[in-house]
Amino acid sequence: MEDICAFALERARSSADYAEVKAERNSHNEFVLKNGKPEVSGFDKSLGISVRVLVGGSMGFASTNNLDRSNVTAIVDEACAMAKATSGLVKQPVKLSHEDGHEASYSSEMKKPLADVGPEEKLAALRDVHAGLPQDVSVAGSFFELYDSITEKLYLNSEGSHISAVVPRIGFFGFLTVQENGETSQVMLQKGASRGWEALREWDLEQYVSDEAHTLQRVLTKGRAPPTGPVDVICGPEVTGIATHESCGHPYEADRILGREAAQAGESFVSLDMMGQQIGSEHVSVIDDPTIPHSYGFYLYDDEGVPARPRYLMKEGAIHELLHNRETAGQLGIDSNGSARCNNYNREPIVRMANTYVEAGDWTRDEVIAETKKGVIINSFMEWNIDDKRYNQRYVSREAYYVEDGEVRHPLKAAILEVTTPTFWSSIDAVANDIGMFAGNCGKGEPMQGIPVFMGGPTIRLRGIRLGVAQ
Amino acid sequence: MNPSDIVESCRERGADDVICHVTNLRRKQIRFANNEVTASKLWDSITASIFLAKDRRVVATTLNDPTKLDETLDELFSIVGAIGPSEDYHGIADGTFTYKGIPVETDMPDDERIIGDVFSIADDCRAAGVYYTTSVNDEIATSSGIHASDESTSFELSVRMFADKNASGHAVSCARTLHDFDYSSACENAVDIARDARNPVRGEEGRFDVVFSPLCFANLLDDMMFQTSAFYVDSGLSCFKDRIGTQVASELVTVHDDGTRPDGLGSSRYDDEGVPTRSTPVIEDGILTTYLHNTSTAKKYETKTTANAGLIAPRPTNIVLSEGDRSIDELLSEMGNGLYITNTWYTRFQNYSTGDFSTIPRDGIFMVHDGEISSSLKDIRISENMIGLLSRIAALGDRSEHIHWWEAETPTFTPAVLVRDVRITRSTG
Repeated sequence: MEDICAFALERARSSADYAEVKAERNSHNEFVLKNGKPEVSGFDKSLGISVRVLVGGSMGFASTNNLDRSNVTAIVDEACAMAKATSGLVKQPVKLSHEDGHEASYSSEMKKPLADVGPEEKLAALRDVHAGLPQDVSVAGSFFELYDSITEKLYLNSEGSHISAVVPRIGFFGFLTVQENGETSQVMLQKGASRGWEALREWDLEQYVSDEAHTLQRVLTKGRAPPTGPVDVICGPEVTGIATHESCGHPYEADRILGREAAQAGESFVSLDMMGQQIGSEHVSVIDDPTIPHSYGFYLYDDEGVPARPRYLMKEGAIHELLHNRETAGQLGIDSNGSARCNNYNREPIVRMANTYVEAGDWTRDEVIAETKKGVIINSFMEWNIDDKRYNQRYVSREAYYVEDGEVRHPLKAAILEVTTPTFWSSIDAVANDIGMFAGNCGKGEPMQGIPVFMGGPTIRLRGIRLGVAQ
Repeated sequence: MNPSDIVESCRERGADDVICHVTNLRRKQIRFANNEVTASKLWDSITASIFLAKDRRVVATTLNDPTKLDETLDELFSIVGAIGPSEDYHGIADGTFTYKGIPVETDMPDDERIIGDVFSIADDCRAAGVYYTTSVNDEIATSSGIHASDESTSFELSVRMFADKNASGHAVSCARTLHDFDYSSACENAVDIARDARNPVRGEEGRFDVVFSPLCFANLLDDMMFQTSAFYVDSGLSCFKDRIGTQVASELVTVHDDGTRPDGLGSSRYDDEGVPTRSTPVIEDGILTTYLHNTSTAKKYETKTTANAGLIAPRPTNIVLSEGDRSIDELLSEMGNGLYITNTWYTRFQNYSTGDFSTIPRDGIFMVHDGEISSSLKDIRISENMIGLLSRIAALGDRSEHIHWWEAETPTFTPAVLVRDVRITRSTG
C-alpha cells in the first residue's frame, strides 16, 4: 500500500493545492444462524485507494480498487479535473483548518486474534446462543449474526502526515421474536467492540440473549398499559445512550449546522449563535470520546490525520463544543477536533461521532428509583426516531416498569417517551453512576456510510413527562 | 477477472453449485449545498461476487482485491468444510434462458451545466442535494451453464430546496436514459413545496385523512416491500408471514415487483442467479399473492422463483404501485379536510411481525381544508401499522413518479395515495 499511496500523492501534488491519499485493506467475515439453522456464511476482502484534492478551493475525490499505476494515475488526474471543472460553481472556496503533519502508527490490541479463530468456532458460538434460548419462552423466530473484520489503513497527505492503523472489530447482531397468548414482541440485539475474540467472553451472549427472551416474555404476559398523566421517566443506560446519540451528538455535528448534510441526514436545531447556551439541566454533561480502548467507535487519528481527543459536547447543560472535521473547522476559523470518519477507502471523511455518552453522576440507580414517587422506568427500546433537525424524538419501550413510592411495581407495554430535545435535556434532575455502553452503526452521508459507534450513559431521571401514545 | 474461469475453478475444487458475477462500476457524483458544489466524486471499481454450495453448505463472498483470487477461493472452501449444511438451501436456477434488452444511454450529459441549472431554478431558495451519473457492466456465469451479460446507465438528481430554515421541499428525478431525465421539473417541484411550506405551525395529534405524495409513499413502500422477501418472512422480520391469499391492503391496491421496466433504475436482464427478470404481482386487489423468491426459497415454499434472487436473500427490483384515476387536486378534494404530506424519513418498526412503526414527515406538511391547502405544519409523527395503513387506502393518483433516493433504496413507481384515519402523534412536551 505504501508505494502506491506515495505514488498517488506525488501525482496529485503536481496539480492540486492540497492532496491526501488513503489506502485500506479490509477483511470481513460473517456467519448467520436463522431459526437455529446455518444460513449463507460469507466474507469480503477489499483493497483500494482514494485520493481527495483541493484545486482552487474546489474538492475532488476519486477511488479505485484497480491499483495499476496507470489506473491510479487516471483517477488522480480525474479527481483534479473534476475539482477544477466545478470550481466555477463554488462560492466559498474550501479552506481546511490548520493541522501539523503527523507521523503515527496505532492498533487495537487483540488478546485472542480474530485470525486464530476458525469458522467452526464462530458458528459454534452462534449455535451455543441458540441452544441457550430458554425452554420456558415461546420463541417465534431468531436471527443471529456474528461478524468480525480487520481493517488496515494508510493515510498520507501533502502536509507531511503519514498514519497507519490496524483496527479489528467484532460484533453480534440479531433479532428475536417471542410469542405469548397470540401476541408477539421483538428485540434487536447488538454487541460490538474493537478487539479480538476475547470480547465474546465478556459479552456472555447466551446469557444476554436468554435474558432478553425472558424480558420480552415478562412484558408480554404481565405488562399493563402505561399511565396517562405526568410521571417521572427513568431512562436506563440504553435509552440514555440512544437519546444522547440522536439528540446531542447529531445536532452538534458542524456539517449539519452549516448545511452540508441538508439533503440527506438533514440540518440541526442548533445554530452557531447558540454556543454556550444552556439547553439542559446543570446535572448533565455529554462527552464524545474516540480514544476509549476497545470501544466500537475507537480511533486515535481521524480520517484526515487529526489526533483524536475527547470532546465535551454539553457541559453542565450548556452547548460546549461541536464536532468538526477540517472543512467545517476551516470555515469557522478554528481547529478540527478530529471528528472526520469514513467507513471505507471509497468514501469521503465527514463529521461523525465515535463513543457518545452522558457523564456519570453521583446518584446510584437504586437511589433514583427509591426517590421517585410516581414514575416509569424505560430500560430499553425497540422503535425510535427523531426528526431531521434533531428536535422531536421518540423511543418506544421494550422493557419498562411502573414505579410508585420508590418501588418497582409491574411491567408496562409500549411506554413511549416522545418529547422535544430541549424538554429531554432540561428535565433531567438525577444522573446515576451506572454507565453502560451500547454498540450501534450510525448512518450518515451520501452514499450512506454506516459507522461503528458506542452510545451510552448512566440511568437518568426526567421530571414531569407525559408519555406518548401508540399506534 | 473472468466469471466463467472462477466458476470452473470452483467446480474443479468440488463445488456443486456456483454463481459468479463480475461487475464493473463507474459512478460520478456532484454534491451540493447552500447553492454551491461541495465535492465532486468518482468511483471506479471491479468486483467479483461468488456464491457456492457444496453438500448444501453455502458460502458467499465479494472480492474487491483481484490479487487475492486464489487465496479467496482457498478460504471459501475452508469455510465450506467447516460449517454445517443449510437445511433451507435448495439449489440455484437451472435452464437455458433468453434475455430481453433494456435501454442504455450512449451520450453523456454536461454535468456542470445541469448543476448550474439547479442553482438557477433555486432562485431565492437554498439548494442542497446530489447528482449521479452511473454506468455498470455485469457478466454472470453459473455452474448450471448460464452465461450472460448486462449493462445499465442511470442519471439521478435528489434535491432539497429551502425557502427558509423551517421551510423545505424535496424532489427527485431518476432515469436510465437522458431522454427521461427531467431534472428541471424536480427542482421546480421542490421550490414550489418549499415556498408553500413557509411559516409552519405545530401540528395536532389525532387521526387524520392523509394524502401522501409519491416521494413520501415510496419511502413507506420500500419499507413494506422488503418484508415480502421469503428470507425476511422466515427470519421473523415481516408482517406478511402466513398471509398469502389474505387481504393485506385495500382492494384498490395492486403492487408489482417489476425488474423489466425499461425506465426502472432497478431493472436488469437477469437476477443474481441469471433468471430473466419479470413482472410479479405481489399484492393484487389488496390480496397478498406471493413472497419474493429465488430458486432456493421457492422450492422450500413449493412454488417457482419470482426472479428476485440476491446472492443471499430475495430482494425487490422495482416496486410498482398501480395508478388510480384521481388527479392530485381530486385526491385533495375527495379528502376534504386532512393533511398533505410530501416526504418522510426515519421509519422504524416496533415489531416487524405486527408491522407497528413510526416515521417522521419532513419538508412540506400541509393542512388541507375543503380540499385546499390552508396552512403549513411541522413537528408531527406518523405512528401506524403497515397493514392497517395499506388497508385504509381510499384512492390513488393517476400519475406515477419514479422515486429512488437516500430513504427509498429500492426504485419505486408510485402515484399519490389517499389514506383514511392515519394516526398522527407529536411530542408531549
